[in-house]
Amino acid sequence: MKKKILEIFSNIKKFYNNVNNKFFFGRYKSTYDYINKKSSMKEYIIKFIFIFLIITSFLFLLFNNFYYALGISFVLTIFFLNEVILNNKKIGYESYILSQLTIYTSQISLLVGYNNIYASLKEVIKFLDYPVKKDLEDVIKKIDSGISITDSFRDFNEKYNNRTITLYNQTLDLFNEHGDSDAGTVLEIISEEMNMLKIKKDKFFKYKKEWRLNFYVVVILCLIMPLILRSMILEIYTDFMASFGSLIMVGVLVMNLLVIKKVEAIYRDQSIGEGGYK
Amino acid sequence: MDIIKNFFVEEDLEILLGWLGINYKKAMKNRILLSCFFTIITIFLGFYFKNIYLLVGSIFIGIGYYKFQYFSVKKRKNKFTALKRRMFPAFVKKILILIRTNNVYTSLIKMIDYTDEPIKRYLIELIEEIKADKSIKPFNDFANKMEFIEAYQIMAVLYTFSEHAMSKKHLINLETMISHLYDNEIDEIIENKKRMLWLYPNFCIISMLFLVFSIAIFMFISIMSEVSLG
Repeated sequence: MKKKILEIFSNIKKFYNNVNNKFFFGRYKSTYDYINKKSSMKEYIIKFIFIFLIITSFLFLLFNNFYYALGISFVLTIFFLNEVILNNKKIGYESYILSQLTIYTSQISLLVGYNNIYASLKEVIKFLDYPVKKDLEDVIKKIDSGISITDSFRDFNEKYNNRTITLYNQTLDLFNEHGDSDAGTVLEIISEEMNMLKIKKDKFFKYKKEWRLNFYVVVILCLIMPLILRSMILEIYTDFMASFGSLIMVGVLVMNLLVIKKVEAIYRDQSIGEGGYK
Repeated sequence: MDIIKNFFVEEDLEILLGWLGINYKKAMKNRILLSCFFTIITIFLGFYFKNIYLLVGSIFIGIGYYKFQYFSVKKRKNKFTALKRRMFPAFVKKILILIRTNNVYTSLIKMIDYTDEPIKRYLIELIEEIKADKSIKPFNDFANKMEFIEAYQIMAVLYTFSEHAMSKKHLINLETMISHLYDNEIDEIIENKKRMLWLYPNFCIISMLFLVFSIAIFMFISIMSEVSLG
């Protein structure tokens, strides 16, 4: 009996943790871990309450029903926090990583002119910051233990999943094994590719920023439409919401949420064909 | 016209399966068996629920599934081609590094350790073919397997390197050309992505129009119910 109760408790705990990690503070915390910042419960609660209040007051005007507004705004707040606010944090962090990788490639191309590959790798560390710095230190540790350069870089390549970086690191091994005085020039060409990729990504990201802004303007205009109808034909609107209108409104909101989710996913996805190469 | 012809006749299926290394006869057998299986299951369900629509629909489900398999093969083939297109510039760049200290043939052999599937398989075939045939044909065959036009040009240059001496200037030119190839590919991807972006705001507008139309219909019904025609 005691065992069964304990099992039920552990299942409840597991369920609670899963929900927390997927929708609430757990997800918030994991994103903050990803971007190497400390998360705070207080900050999370303040954000949650602030967004919740704004959405509730807007929905109350739409639905004319306090309980409807309360329930739906709870879902919308979770959605907004997880999909929009956390997204922005991740995007900022990923562009930071890309700039670090660009520094890495351009510096190595310069350094191989005066040093061998191993010494260049050791020297480039001082130009970098966490997490690329730490990963590169791990790579150097592996090379020290006698593993080949390609194998040492395997985890590094997998983590950053960028085919130019993968090619660059494999090229380092080729130069190390087969040697050539031309290493600097070749690495420079690949490094140029990395710079080009960064510039194109930045340009595309600016374009996407504009597009996203336009999209939200359309969304806001669409969501204001019911409020205009409400102010113009209050009686009919109230009757409409009392009959099948609420259902249609929920459907419209769900449809908008799905589109917003897709738009946020596109906005966040910064890869332009550089991933996926083994 | 070719697209419509391929939709019904599937002339390219054997070639597609050949590219993917799948046996045509075996694949067709499986395809027909699976389509029949789904048709029979739908017929059974039709009889069980005594539903005429399910019975009629079973034929369409069979045909639909039969066709679905063709399209999934096509999709796989497209992915495979894209993968080769992505891997090829990196492959050539690495080979150009090896060429600086080795001849072309030795570089190709050494490259086996530095490349992955599916190019690795083609590379081994290329080396075998070069052993028997010293002409440009093996290089062209290799380019043909890459399935894009620039590959012919690059392989021809590699062949010239193998026949005559090459200078570093040419190597660097080729490296720059491959970088431009990558540059073009990225531009193409960005253009495609940009085209798709402007589709999304329309969904929000459509959903809101739906709401407005619902209110209009509601108004119409409520007004009509108040009108007495007597």
